[in-house]
Amino acid sequence: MRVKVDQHKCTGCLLCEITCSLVHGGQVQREASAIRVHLSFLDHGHHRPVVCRQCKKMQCLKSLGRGADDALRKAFIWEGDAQIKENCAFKALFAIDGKLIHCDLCGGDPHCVKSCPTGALALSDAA
Amino acid sequence: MPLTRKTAFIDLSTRQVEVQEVPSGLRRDYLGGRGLNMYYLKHLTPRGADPFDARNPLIFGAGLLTGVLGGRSNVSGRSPESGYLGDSNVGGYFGAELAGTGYSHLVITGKSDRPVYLYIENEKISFMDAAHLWGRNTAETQTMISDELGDDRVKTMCIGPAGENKVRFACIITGPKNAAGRTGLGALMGSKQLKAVAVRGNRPFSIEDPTGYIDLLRATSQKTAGSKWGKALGLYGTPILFKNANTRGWTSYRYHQRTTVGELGEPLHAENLYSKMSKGSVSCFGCPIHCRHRFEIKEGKFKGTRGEGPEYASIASLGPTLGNLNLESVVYLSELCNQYGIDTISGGNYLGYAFTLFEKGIISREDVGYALQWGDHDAIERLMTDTVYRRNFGNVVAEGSFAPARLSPEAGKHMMTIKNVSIEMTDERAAKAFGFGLAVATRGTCHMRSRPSTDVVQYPRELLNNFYGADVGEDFKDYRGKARMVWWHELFNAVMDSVGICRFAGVFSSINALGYLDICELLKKTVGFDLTDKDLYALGERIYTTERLFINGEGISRKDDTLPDLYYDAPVPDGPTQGEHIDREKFEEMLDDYYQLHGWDSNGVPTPATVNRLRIDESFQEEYRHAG
Repeated sequence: MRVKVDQHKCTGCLLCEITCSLVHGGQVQREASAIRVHLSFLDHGHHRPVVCRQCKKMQCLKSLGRGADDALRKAFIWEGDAQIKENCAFKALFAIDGKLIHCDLCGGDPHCVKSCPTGALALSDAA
Repeated sequence: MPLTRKTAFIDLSTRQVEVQEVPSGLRRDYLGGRGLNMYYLKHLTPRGADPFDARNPLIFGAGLLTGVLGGRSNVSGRSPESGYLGDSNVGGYFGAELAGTGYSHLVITGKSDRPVYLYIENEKISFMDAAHLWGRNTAETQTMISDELGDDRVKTMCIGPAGENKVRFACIITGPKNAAGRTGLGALMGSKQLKAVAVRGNRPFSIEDPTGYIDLLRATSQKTAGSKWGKALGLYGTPILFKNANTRGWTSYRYHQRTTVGELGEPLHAENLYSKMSKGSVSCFGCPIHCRHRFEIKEGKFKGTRGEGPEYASIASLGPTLGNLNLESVVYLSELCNQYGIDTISGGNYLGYAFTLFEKGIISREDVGYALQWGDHDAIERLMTDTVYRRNFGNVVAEGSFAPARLSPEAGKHMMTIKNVSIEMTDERAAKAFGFGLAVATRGTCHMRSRPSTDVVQYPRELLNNFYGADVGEDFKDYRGKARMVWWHELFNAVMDSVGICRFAGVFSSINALGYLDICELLKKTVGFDLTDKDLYALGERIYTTERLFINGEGISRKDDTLPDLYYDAPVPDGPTQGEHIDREKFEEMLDDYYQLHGWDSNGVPTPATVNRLRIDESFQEEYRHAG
């Protein structure tokens, strides 16, 4: 299960970032959100939401050894290790205050999907 | 917490910065955005000073909930276009990023001795060299700043060449086209040699009731984007208004010579713009409506031009106002204005004034250097460019409402302004509320200060009467209750601009959109304010009356709350609104009603009782020490 992105439908409203930070931190701080939209205005390109793809084999955690996947897959905040962030091929882990923010799918019912007004975000069963 | 955002007082002459907390009473009385801007403007602007006097402040203010709910902010100062109130509300992402720095307001005074830009990263404020940016257009400037700071999340507001050259109707731009457009604040910024303000902030905002707020945010999104009006805006954007203006007889053709061009105007209708050039729609911060339509010109002389817009106002100002009914030309000219950093409304209309003078033989080819024939794209682009760079006759046009001082007395008779701000692209001789709204708007000619359009969308009279609490005629040509309509929307819009909510999300063309009670709920869930709709009413009154006191101090009174003679003396010559004009006697009756509703005297000056009731001077004396 993962949050599937259709960047053609993303209008860059950032309601996903606002929602994620509110749900997990009780405050609005977009850089404490596990989803991040790369805006593209002056070059007239598509906005690009980026969020953890929930890889079956978590390449990001390869430096931590066996068993780390199970412990961290459901966690929103990971204690910092710069290498973990670099290991993600999708650049979908975000650092703030020495910690990493990871999409925990809100326990299976992601709030960002519910806030997205255009359907750019959807819950997908496919890995 | 949005309530703890501070104000930075920045002096460009001395490069000193003083940071102040916004006292809680002042926050509650003015909220933020336009409200606090007006408070600072009234108390910090030296009375009667020249617009380019270094002491005049240039104020950037994010709405109270900007960065949490929406992205709107206001830029304010003494207007170079009018000499009076300069104020413009702008969308995009700048306001939200500014709020994230921990500052909601920047009050910028003084004048730099060399080109400079401000870089604000959270609480740190830096003065950056801008010599290499001087002369650059608005897109280049923003890209270069983002590149040199190595951060694509930086958001910038900047001026183009028009602001640098103090063209009196220059604007301030963020992104491809979001503009603090009206009243020439780009020229004020240019006079300070301030090329740009770049911001980057990630400070957290605690929310009173996070769960409740998420639910409310979703419901609010649904309400605004799900309506018929919201959906139309999301698909076409504001160009959808042009067909209405043209077919119902309130567009301006050739600087108000006619009010419709019938079928000839069809190329400019939204459907055509959409089918020929649309590249989809995008949002401002926090907004589900996504009315920002992107275009690409796919054929002809301007093939390959890309950008955002044009809005309805730009289409009408650069199109029929100049006798120009060519879609590609209008879209290209709008983009040109965005890159030069020039207000499309005033820009189109001051050019319309010049074309009128040419048509009447008051100026000639010798004066201009070329002919000014209505609808000639090359002449329009050339004069626009000459204006931006203050070349030849463009140097006269660049003076905007002050241009007649450099021309013959005969030329002065054809200039149409209200409080020194150019008349606009919509002809409001037929729509009485709209016409009246232009006359009384605090910033000079302005359809957005009140934007009273509920009688144009044909609601039943009973519904209007319930909504406004008194008799309001359902026909837009009717005078009944129209002063009340204008007054009601002036207050409401002042509140919206202070909270930081876009006009298009609120009561604008639909009385079912966000209203006072919705705002009360939003304020409660976010910052814990327990305000009633009556409190917000008073807040709108306080802001609007503060603006009025500011312009009263500059000599504005009843005599200035008026329309160009054309509105009274020249009935619409043909089309659906043929024969319509404003009756002087009825206009004066509307003024009496309007002043009474605001609690101002018969000369349009707020009475001491009103000032006291709204605690306007009290909050200044008790809570604010900076000006002393």
